[in-house]
Amino acid sequence: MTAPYGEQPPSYPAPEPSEPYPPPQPAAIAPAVRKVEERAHPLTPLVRGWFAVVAVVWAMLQERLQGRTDGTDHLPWWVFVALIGGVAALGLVAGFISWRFTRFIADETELRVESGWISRRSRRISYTRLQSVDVMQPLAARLLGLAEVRIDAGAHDSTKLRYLSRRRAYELRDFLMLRAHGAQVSVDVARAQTSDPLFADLGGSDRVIVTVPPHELLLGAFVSHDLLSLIIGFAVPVAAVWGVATYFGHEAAAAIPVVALAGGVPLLFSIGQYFTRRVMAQFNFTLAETQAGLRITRGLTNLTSQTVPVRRIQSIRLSQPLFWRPMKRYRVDLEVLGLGEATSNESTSKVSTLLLPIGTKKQVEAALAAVWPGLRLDAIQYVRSPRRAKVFDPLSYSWNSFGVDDNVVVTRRGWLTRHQSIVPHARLQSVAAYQGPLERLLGLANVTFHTTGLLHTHAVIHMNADLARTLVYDEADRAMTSRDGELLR
Amino acid sequence: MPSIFSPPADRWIKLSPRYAVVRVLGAVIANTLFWVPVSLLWAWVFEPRDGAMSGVTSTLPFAAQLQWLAAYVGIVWFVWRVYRAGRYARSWAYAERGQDLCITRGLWYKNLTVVPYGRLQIAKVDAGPLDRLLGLATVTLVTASAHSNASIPGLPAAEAERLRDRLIEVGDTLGSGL
Repeated sequence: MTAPYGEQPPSYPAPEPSEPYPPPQPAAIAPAVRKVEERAHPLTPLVRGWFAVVAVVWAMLQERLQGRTDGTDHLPWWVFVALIGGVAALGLVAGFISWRFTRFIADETELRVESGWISRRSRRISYTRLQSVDVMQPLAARLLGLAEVRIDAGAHDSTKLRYLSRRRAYELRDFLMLRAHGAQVSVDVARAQTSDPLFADLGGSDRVIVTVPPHELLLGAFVSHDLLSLIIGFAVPVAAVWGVATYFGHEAAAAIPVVALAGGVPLLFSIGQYFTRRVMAQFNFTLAETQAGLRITRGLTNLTSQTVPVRRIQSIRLSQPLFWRPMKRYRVDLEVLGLGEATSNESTSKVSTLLLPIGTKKQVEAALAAVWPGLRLDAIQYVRSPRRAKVFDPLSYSWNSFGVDDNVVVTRRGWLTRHQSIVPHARLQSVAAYQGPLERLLGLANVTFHTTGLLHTHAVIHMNADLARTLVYDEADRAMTSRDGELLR
Repeated sequence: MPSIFSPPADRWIKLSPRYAVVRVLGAVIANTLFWVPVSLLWAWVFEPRDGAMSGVTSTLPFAAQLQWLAAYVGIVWFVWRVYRAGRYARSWAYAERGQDLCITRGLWYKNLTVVPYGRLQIAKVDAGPLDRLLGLATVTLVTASAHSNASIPGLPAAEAERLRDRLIEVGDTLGSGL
């Protein structure tokens, strides 16, 4: 398949290679970007039919194996082959139809995706509304050199372009991101800047900020609460049953450790699975700064590449589970408007809120500096709750606090996992105070800061009630007067 | 020092007193339409008798007692809601303060939400059948955050529309992009 984006007339003004991208120009004098129209890659039906085939093969194999062990007759081999063939053919036909009727059209102001055979659908995404563009490569697609482009424009679900050749996907992504930043570029410019590496997703002008080596990922997984709860969830009931049985001198008491050991095998299995999933999803985690925004690339089998425009970041949260504290490691999440399907789970290749799965203080600072160069976390003075709040938070009292500077409000809470949320005043949507009957008795109150919402709300709990009133109203004023220019400089 | 929930500017604007009537009617309707049929069904299922259903009855030996306990709890909760309706309605209030709208509510759990006008995406007016019966309406402020949860129920319909129009007007002039 030829590349239609490349078939543009040569009269198109060629950009200077030395200039990153031409400055935004008013639409009136901007050169007319010619409409380009494209289909998905012709191998797409193969990838989409792949899952159906795997599922049938798996079911048939199981059927055969079971048939052998319990001595019953299994299906003749030709039924087996016919079924797989039929499913594969159906999948291919369905895939072909959907491929045949799907077109992507990029013109001057918007991207249009037309699809559907019986009921036609046309989605329009204005470049100015783009929130983020991600390139996903599931294993099956990756083996064929294909990739999926996922476009978020603030709605609940993202628009998926399945599948383009990997190079094409990167090109489209770069083009869209440059347009999202207001640059009147042509697809040629984006094309010239795109490279096509197999494991990373880095162009020549990109600057790597942080990479996370696999041993750090393993370390993080090893001392995580997830692993601990997996083990405790198994060990505590076993120990309890064993203790009770021994105490009452039941004859089964001696057998319980043996049974538990046998039960430990599936436990070990799930622990192994937990480690592999997590490391595979985060493998080669690379945070890089590109012209189009921050780029996060990760994954061993499924390669995920997220690009986040810095201006669209709504808040950042640092967290530190209990056992990461002595190791001085942190995790960083970010909140972007419109990552409708994003998850904070670190064990999947889906689009996630992760900015850094695990990192030292230095790496965290580097990542934060890439997002908000103007952020001065060290200079912020934190205000703690009065001593009487200890009744409510005996364990997190010393951590619960908030701090404000000209650009951001920072809140800290949590005892098992310590969270620290950073919300720019300019990104705050609303602010609320609430107070229960016991808190009223002690003159305490809570304040929450509402942002566009993926991470759970940013709150200061059990602070002085009088201070809470001042904080709420002052913060509402700052939300209206503050601009994020200083933070982004 | 004013208390945390005292008025931000000069005074709070209260809801219409008729909102208490909406609360009471709402409680009555919810009870007659949902809880009464449920309790009748329960009584029928666990009625002590011989035959096909006797197995069910015997597995729950305290069914009759449980049923009365649930009924008492339900009745007490209903009476409490009706009794508190007036005070609950009076606990709601809103006020405009400079460039934002403040809303307060709640008796035991008090809440104060402040929405800067510039963050307003949509301001809308809803009125359910009960509201319409009493000439009331709810104004809801929608921001880009799902947590904002800022709405003012029980406003006289005309005032609700006036407030909505005013919010849209100031939101337009102060609005900022995302």
